[in-house]
Amino acid sequence: MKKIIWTFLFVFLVLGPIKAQDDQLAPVTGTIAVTNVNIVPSPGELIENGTVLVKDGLITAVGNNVTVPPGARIIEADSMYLYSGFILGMSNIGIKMPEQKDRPDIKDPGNPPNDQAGITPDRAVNEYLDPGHRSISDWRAAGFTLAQTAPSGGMLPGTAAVILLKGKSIEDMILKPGTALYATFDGARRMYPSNILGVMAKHRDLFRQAEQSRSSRQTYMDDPSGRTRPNYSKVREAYLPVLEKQIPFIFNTEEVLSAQRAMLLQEDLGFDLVLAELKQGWDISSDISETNTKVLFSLDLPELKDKDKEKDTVKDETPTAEKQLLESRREEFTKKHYQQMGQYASANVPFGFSGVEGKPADVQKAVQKMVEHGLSQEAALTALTTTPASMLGISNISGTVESGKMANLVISSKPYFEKDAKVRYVMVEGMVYENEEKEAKESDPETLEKVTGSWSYTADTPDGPITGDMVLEESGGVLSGTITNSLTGEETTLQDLVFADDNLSFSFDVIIQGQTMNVLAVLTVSEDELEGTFSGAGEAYSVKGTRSPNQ
Amino acid sequence: MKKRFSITIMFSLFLVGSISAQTEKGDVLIKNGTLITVTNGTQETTDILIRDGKISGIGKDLSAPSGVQTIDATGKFVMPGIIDAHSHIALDAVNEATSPVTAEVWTGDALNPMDVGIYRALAGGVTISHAMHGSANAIGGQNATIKHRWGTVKMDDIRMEGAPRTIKFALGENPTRVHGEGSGLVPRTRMGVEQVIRRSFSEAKEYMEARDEHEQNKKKRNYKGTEPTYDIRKEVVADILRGDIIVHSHSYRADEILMLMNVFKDYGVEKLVFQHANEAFKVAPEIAEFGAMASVFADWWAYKFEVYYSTAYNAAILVQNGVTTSINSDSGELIRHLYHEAAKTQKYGELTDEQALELITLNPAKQLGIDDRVGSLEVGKDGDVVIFNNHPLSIYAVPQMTFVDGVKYFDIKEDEDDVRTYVNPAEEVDVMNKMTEHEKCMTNTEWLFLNE
Repeated sequence: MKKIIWTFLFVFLVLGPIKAQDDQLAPVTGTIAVTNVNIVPSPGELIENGTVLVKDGLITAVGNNVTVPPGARIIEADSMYLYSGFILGMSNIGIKMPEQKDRPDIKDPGNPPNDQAGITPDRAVNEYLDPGHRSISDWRAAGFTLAQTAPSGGMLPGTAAVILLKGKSIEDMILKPGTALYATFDGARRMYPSNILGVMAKHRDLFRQAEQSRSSRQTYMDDPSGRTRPNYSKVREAYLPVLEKQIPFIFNTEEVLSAQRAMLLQEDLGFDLVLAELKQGWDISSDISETNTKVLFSLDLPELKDKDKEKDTVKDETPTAEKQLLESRREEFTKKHYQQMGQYASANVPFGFSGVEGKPADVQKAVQKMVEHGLSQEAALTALTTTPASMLGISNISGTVESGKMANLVISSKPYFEKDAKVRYVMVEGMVYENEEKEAKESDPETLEKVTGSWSYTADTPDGPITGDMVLEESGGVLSGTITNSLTGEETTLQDLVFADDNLSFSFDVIIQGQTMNVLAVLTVSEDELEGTFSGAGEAYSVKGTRSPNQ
Repeated sequence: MKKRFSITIMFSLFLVGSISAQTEKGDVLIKNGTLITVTNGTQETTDILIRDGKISGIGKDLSAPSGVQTIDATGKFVMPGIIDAHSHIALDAVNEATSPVTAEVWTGDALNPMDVGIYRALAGGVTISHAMHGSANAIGGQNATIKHRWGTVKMDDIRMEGAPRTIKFALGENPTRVHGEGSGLVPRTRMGVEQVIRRSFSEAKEYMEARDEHEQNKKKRNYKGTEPTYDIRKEVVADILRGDIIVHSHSYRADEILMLMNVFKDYGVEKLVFQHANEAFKVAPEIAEFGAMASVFADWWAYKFEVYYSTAYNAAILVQNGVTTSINSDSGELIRHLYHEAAKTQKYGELTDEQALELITLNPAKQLGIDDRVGSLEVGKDGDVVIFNNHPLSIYAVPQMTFVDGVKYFDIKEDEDDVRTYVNPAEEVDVMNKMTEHEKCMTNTEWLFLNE
């Protein structure tokens, strides 16, 4: 027993740093046995010290008395915990939208072409799926094996598909195409529909036109003689499965008002509705269950203040009574974001999660905080596995650890919901991926010198260049920084700063007319210049920058 | 299937929806106040009883049924809730400024019941406001009449159930600036504005006729005709032509006021309220003859070229000429003291107390088509009531309590510092520095005037 652990440690310590962060082990055999592991076959159940046998991508046996055939690759997962692979209800995983070039001059902003106005429900996942996209391995490393994903950008970005988070080709990855129509309340810029007013009206207009088109085509097909042939429209065509209630509309609704607006449309038009990326759901659970709406909570939740850390920062002065009151209300509302999942579970309103905004590396902490705030571990696991499986209509394929199901598994060093538990292995359709222990984030200050300092940049957007300055600083091997932009003139803090191998990435928020847009920057630094892209709200722009001369 | 084409049915569905989603109704007995009924004079030392959200009794020595709270209003003034016929509070978006005609959009889709502007309006005794689309387009969007039921997060809770549909039109500089100067489209001039409206009406008329014809013929044997393609914009304009929607038109100059009445006569549209209408006094008899109404400012003008020729006597002249007139705010600030605005008509035009108070109660109710429900203290009407410390037309008037449907939503003695319904965890704690917007009529059009 001890020997095995030592071998393990050896592998981690010596070989670990050479390997990539998330490693795909070469399949020597199609048969894999995960042995001596605590199996949670479905939420609320436990098989101690069991074995899961996997053959050619399928689970073939689960239990305590499983005979491991000779030649099987054995993963000794002693004292670890094994769950069904997590399923993400909605996301933009693996999607790479084309860079926006110059926007054609719109002569009549009141009547732009559909594709310029963000009305592209016909766009399919296979057109934009990039098997090498980093989001695939990042979400997989967090335990997710299947995800619904869709193109992004505009009020009708496209049609969703369920994908496997593995594979080298689009053909490998797509489990089920055409699973939902994805919708948002995002207006088109400087053209109709430009904000919530126009977007709501346009959703109604398009839906009713699609209904009309369906029936007039049916009439024509039944009796074409003497009738004018109805025109084909790719937009209306994309609505058909929604009209037939074969697939739902998924609305991206972070806020409580957006969620109500989606339900308002549902009431007017009558379609199956899924609310994705919901952040403020605590006041509308009864409306949701009455309208049979399905819910996917966001995993991008506001930060809960760490009480211990707070003590250090607020030592300078005692806050006034008013400030204390305001702070306590802020805390109350921050907590609601984590308490609502427990409320929904108690009210038997099923929910899953979506990952349009959230970061995979934060998922486990977020879920653990939900558990801290009243969600049972069993319900949390349900939301990660069986509920999304049933929402996506793939319960017979995945969601539980059962013989005959796809070999999608998560193996955690401890029970997943316990502090310090780490996802060690993720298996997607029998393919094993191993997560190594993460290196400390600290980097060599000398390496960081390449990026620290002041930079000025120009981003080319269809509406003209946006310029600004970036300031990057290093302290104790950790990067921090700020960025300005000529669009809003505001200075914002850079988040998730990573610099490695001359590649600099970070994100920041830009608030335009009250709407927050998260921009992701991916840049390459060479000497005193940098180059790369800014992407946000489904669009990407090329960026160039130079180091500002020292003053 | 049938409901597909009927926006009327669609709206009645909302109606059913909001009725089934019951809003809170209260019971209260307000005793010994000076009742300003608006329709039945001023009654001293009188009680008013509200049961289940409706006024159920007005008289002396009423007694509170068991469990009903009693409020002593001795020495205080009790009047119907103030109604603002032109406001943009409680909205997440005001203008869909990308097209000269956007009849299909509806501010009821953009309601924000958590806007603190609602609470501020309650503190000014305002119980109902007309949450309007902005003035960027010749035919703007449909508006929402809202009740100030503060504290809810539900959009449906603040809709005034059963209120008629209204729509915003805009004449003059705003639409010509946005579309003519901004995008190089018609309308570039006042002539263009007229043309945009006429074209829109005639297209909707054709559409409506073609649709009706199709409906009549589709059951006939061997009918091979094609249904006109559904057009949500024309559907709404057709409803205007049918008389199902009250038009509220932003306007300033006398010539454009006359123009719009002429256009409406040509198309047989009757329900018309002029908003702002600073030069309405010049054509008051013509407005009265048409049967149109006017909603004006007390004394606000000269903020752009077309608003220079104005007078504080506007409201009084209109009233004396028999035009149903109201005084509105168009502002999250002015809405807090509409009673002062009404009082100005006594300085400029010597209106009676009753006439002055009608400008902010019964008359705006008529303009919104809700005067059978609100706008005066009468048995059977909604329990929307304000209690003032002094006569509401006094400069010392301060609202003490405001009730909507018999539920108290404002009490000056229980006025918390932080009344936010939702708190944004990402928002800085320093809420005092938050900017407030006053005039929102041109909100969401800023991008048109940015220098590239």
